Order: sequence, then C-alpha cells, then structure tokens
Amino acid sequence: MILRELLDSDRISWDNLTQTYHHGCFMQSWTWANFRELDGYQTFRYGLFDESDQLIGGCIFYFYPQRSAANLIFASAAPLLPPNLETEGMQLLLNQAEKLSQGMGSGGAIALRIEPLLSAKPEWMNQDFVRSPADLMPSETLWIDLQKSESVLLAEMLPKGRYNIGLSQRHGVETVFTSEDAAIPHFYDLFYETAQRQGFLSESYGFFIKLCQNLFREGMAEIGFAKYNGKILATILLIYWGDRCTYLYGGRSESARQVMPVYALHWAAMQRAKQLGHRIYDFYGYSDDPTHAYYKFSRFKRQFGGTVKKTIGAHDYFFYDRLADAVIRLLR
Amino acid sequence: MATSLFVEQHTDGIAFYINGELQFHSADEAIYHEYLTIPAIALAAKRFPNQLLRVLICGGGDGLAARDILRFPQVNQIDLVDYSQEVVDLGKQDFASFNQGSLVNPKVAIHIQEAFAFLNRLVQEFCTESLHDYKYHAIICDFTYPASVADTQIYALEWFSLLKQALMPLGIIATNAVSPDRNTLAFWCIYQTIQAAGLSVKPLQLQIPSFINHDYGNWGFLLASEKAIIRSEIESLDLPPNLQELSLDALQTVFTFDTAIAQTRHSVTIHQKDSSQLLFYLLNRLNISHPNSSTVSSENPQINFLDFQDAPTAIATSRHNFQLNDPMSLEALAQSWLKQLESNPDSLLIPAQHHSHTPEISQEWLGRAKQLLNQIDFPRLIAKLLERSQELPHEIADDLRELQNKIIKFQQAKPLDEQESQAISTDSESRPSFNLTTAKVIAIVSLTLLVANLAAPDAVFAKGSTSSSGFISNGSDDGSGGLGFWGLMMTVAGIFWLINLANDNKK
Repeated sequence: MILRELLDSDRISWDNLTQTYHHGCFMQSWTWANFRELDGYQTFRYGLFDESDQLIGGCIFYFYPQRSAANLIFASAAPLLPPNLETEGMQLLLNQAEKLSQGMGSGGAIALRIEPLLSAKPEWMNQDFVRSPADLMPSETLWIDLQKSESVLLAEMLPKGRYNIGLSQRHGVETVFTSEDAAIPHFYDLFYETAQRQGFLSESYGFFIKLCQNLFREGMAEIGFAKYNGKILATILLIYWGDRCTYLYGGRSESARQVMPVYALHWAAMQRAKQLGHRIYDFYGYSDDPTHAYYKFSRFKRQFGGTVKKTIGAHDYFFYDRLADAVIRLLR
Repeated sequence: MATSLFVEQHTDGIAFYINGELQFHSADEAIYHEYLTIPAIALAAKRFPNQLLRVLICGGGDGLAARDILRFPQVNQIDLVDYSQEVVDLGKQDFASFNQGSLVNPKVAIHIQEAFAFLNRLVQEFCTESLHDYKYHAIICDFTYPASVADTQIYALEWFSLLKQALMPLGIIATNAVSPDRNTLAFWCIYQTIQAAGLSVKPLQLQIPSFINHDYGNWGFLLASEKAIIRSEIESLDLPPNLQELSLDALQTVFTFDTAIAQTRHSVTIHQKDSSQLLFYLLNRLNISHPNSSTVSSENPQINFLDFQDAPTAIATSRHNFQLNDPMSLEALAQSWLKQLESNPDSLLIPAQHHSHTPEISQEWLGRAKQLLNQIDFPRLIAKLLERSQELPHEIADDLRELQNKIIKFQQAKPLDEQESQAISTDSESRPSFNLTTAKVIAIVSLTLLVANLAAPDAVFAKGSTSSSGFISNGSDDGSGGLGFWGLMMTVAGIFWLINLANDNKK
C-alpha cells in the first residue's frame, strides 16, 4: 500500500470511495473540500493505493491558516481506511499529517484531529489518540431508515409528528425543492430570522452563497421550501451523498405556525430522498440531554421516529515535537 | 485561485457578490463608485492641467469604476488589473448595461493578474527615472473586503510603497478601505500605513444603503498623494456632468468623522506584508470602545479632515513598529493575555483568531482549559523539551528536570481519588510545590491549546455542541491517561504564575 497526493484525475475514484465507504460522508467529498477552500481553508488530499494502483482509502485534511504557530489539522468524518489494513493505512496518513504540520508557513500544527464515524474506538486508534474537546460533526444524531415503506415510516413516528404532517396536508402546505442559486437569499432570510430568534451562532450569507453554489453545481444539495398561501414559511438545506440525505440547516417563520410547515417539509424531504435512492435521512445533531444545546430541537426531530446514532467523536493526535517547538519559543 | 461569484436578481436591479461579500447593488452602486473615483481623477486633472491622464485601476473587474473614470475626457489610458477573468467576463457581458460597456472601451487595457505582482514588475522594470512615462497620474484601488492574511497584503506598507513608486509625484491614489465605525482600528491602520509609506492621506466615509443592510456599517475610503490634499483643491474641483450622487457640496462633508472615532487613529500600528496586523484589527473590532453609532451623528463632536494635515503618529511609525511585530503570533498573544490578566483577570479573553470567533466562544473555551490540558501527556512533552535543553536557559532546563523527577515520583505513588485530588488542588498548604518554570510551561501549553482550538472554526462547538462524553471523568478509557489531577494542578499553577508575573510587572 502506498500513499500519494490525489490528483484531479483521481476525483471520480475518490468520490466513489467516499460514497460507498461504510462510514463515508459528504465532508470528505471533493466538492466539499473545494467549498472549504473558498472559505479560507487549505486542503490536502491523500489517497491510499494498493499494488495495482487501486484507490482503497485516504483522507482529505483541512487546515485553516493563521499565524500563531498553534493550529490543528482536521479530518472531518475521516480517515477512510481499507479493511484489514487500518493500522498500516493510519500510520501512513499520520506520517503525512506530521510532515504537513511542519510545513505550514509561519504557523504550525500541533495536532491532528480526526473523526471517523465509528460507534466504538477501533484498535488502530491507539492510546495516543485522545478525545477532542470539540467535535467537527455532531457525535450523536438521529437517522430515519428510508428503506422502510412510507406507511411504516409514518407508523413509526410519534403520534404528534404523524398528526402534524396530516395537519399540514389538510391546510394545503406546499413543498418545493430546488438547486437554483436564486433560492439562496430566500433560504438565508429565514435561516437568519431563526438564528436571531433562537440565539444561536449563524453562518454568514456569504458562507451559504459559497456552500450552495458549489454543491448545487455538483448535484449534491437542494434547498427545500414549505409554502402556504404563496408565502415561504420554512426552509431546509439538504446534502445528498452516498446512502445519506443530511438535513444540515433550516429555518422557519413565526407566522402561520399552526399549519405545521416544518413537518410538511421534512416529510416531503424524506419522501424525496427515498425516491432519489438514499437509504438514510440524517437529522444531523441530536441529544436527549436537557442541558445540551441540541436538546430543544431534538425534541422536534424525535417526532419523526428514527434511531439515535452515536459515534466516538473527534480525537486528537498530538505532534509533540511541534508542541515542544511552540513551548520552547515562548520559554526562551 | 477559485472564486465564488454570485449575482442576485432583485426587482430594483442586481447585487453582485465575490466570495460571499457584496461588491455592489445596482440600486446604489453610484454612491460607492463616484466617491471612489471622481475626486481622485478630478484632483489629478487639476494637478496635471492640459495633460492626458494615465490611470491604473487595481481590482474593479466589474467595470463600474472604469465607467466613472471614463467620464473625464482628459483620461487617455486606463490599465485595469484584476486577478479574475470570470469577474472581467461578467463585467464585459452581464454588467455591460451598468458599466456602459467600459471594459470594451479602447482606452481600457485589461490585465488578468494579481495586482501586487503586476505593480512589482511594473516598478522593477519600467518605473525608473528614464521611463517616467510609465507612471500613473492616478491609481484607484477597488478591492474585495480582506478576509485572510493573504488578502491584507494589498493594504500593507509594501503595497503603498509600490503604488508611490508607480505614481507621478503629484499623482493621486484612491483606495477603498473598511468601515470606519464597524472596523475602526482596521480603518485607521490602513490610514497610518499609507502615511508611513510617505503619502499624505485624507479619510472619507459614506453611507451606502445596501452596505448598511448587510451590516457592513459606513464605508470608508482614503485619498492620498505625496503632496498634501487641501480643502481649497477639493472646493474647486471640476466635476464631470450628470453624476448621480456626488456633488462638490456633498464631497466636503464626507471627510467628517466623529471625534471619538477619529482619535483612535493614534492608537494603531501600521500593517506590513509579513504580519497579520490588519487582520488582527479586523477580527478584534469589538475590543475598541467608541460611540455605538452606525451613522455620523450631528450630536457627537466631529472633526473634518479637510481642515488640517495629519502627520504620521509616533505609535504608527516608531522603529519598534516597523519591526515585525505580529499581533497574532503566539508571543504577542501571550503578552496580550498577560496584560488582560493584569488589568482585568475576571474578563480574560483571547483575541479572535477567525471571523466566526466571538468573545462568548473564547469565554467558553477558557472554562475548558483544564480539559484541554488533560489531553496532554506531560511526561512526554517534558521529555521532548529536555531533548532540546540546549535551546533553553540553564535554569529553565534544570527546573524541567526537577519537574520530570516529580512527575515520575508522583506516577509511582498510589493514585489519589477525586476527592483527595480536589482537596490538594484547593489547599495551598498541601499542594505540591511548583517552581516558576513549571507554571510557565503550563500557562504556555494552555494558551497554545486554546489558540489552536479557537483558530479551528470548523467545529460544531460553535453551535453549542461539545464532545458529550465528559472525557475528564472517563479519561483513562480514552487514552488521556491518569493526568487529570496534574491538569488541574497545573492549570491552577499556571494561573498563579500569570497573576504573580502581572503583579511583578506592576512593581
């Protein structure tokens, strides 16, 4: 097995791998990496190849350049390691990350943060990987199994969820999905309104312009709207990748809440994802802990049924030579 | 370089964004472009009577600045340098009805290149004494809002020095800047940097409705020249006919600033290419106190910069500041942290490292300093430090060896339960003694870990989700080892060190 930088010509193979890999995720897709570059990140894309030059694993590392000589290299939802060769593959990637950590201009990287979407810490993550103080993705989420029939999906929802979907249908709430750029400002208006109302940190309009433009062009994302009497009342941003449709962001108006537009929208999104061949509807972030920031909207998500999925979260591997560099510079 | 271009259709026109930043809204872009270009070209026309003018536009690929410059019959040649062919293509096609076809005007030569590289080559190869004809009568900088260290190079001392070399001695530079009320320190940083390059500079600000709607605040421009620009010149400018927004009377008012905002110009240092001074000011705009007003209020005391000639302030041009003094270096951050601790330890913060970093996020992370330290294998780190002990002062190396021995003894001793740990950590008499080096190492490691995490914005932490496993309590299961007690002790010791050092400094 060898490790080498992925070339543009490897893009299709890489995206195929990340879509079919059992723990693959859109955050390791070529397009997502391009989007992050627009947002100021540097990306470093590496593949693991077997003897016949077949791509069997790899990782896209992300790095946000700054000048403090204290930084992290990230790999959200990664690495992707070939079965039975995990330890060897991880070692190759670690060596590469450590090389990268030395060549980050005036800044440096003191650690690699990885976040494989696994339910238990694997053997290839030895004791040098320590739990990160923050995750790159939610380590707890809610999945709806789209392989079930629509009637079963409805039957497995909580009564309130099922009732509210019916209510929205009786009110005649319409849903529409689009990947037209023109939808971005309408999405953002509602997202911003919601963020202000609920007091959570909102990404900028520019962030969504960059995200949507990039992903729309590759058929990776759609914006959904729920409309009532011609007015947009709710919106969601969906990411399609591999077997999953992920609900990444959303927002709703305070007006006409009684017609339950958000319920109509998610139900339509699930039906659409199912038709498009996706196996899982991922609500992206969930917690049963009343003290957790996700608790409030998790109660809403729970109305749709589904299964809670937990992953091991992010883990850090420290480059002690780099950390010692930083300390020595300040001690002198 | 990949770029995101977005044209938003509105009932009253279009809005154009580059990398998510609004460039113009067709409903009010005339305010921006007329004030950016017309005063500079009118001044150049006055200072170079009966001459054909050569103008350089840096950026401006949308063609709107070129449109307004072409209003002057005296302008004979415009070089437009923009790094994006895509923007220029939009300028030639989609925006042609707005820029009146300026980019296909025979007077306009377009160069697809980074402006810094273009100017560098021009100055090195052509702008000599004998090739005076290559210099410009006016240079207009129409850049996108700087969002990274790389973006800020075109506001650096080196950049303005290049502009000066490419400019005729009486020539005029006009540059867009940032918001004087939203990014006060950053605005004055650019102002002082221009002065440090040996140019006299006048600041001006405008209210542009579409910019205000995007929460950008008032928008700032700077007008500069080697020869000071004076009120009588401004009052007697000959403006082209049919301007939409600019008039001589209005122009004389835009040099007016609230005194509180204006006075902060003395507190900034200049920006150089290899530092992140300007980015630091852009990211840490909340650290300044000034009237919380998004408009120029008639109730606040004001000064008009047309009425006097500002000299570069000592703080901006002192020898110290011309040396590389990067405020986002770890060294500078450590100093800044210490100063905060000395002045107000209860509101200890770390300067923002990223545009999504807020004081609330800093505060949250500071509360987790102990958890961060628990990640570190201190015996391993100290061994690494001792491998390079020759790079350290002898006394520090000796202290580290002593610490290493203490850790070994501690690890060999019977582990303490949590209650005992707490008791020891809070009881100063029974707490093991730490020397100054130990405390200093811990403080440095704490800061390094905090900065690394704060500079890593791609985390769900910002939305309120942290690693939910409570890894302090199950540290031994996840490989963090039995160092929880040490993390706690060392955090306490580190903070004591900082307080003591602050007190020492006071004496």
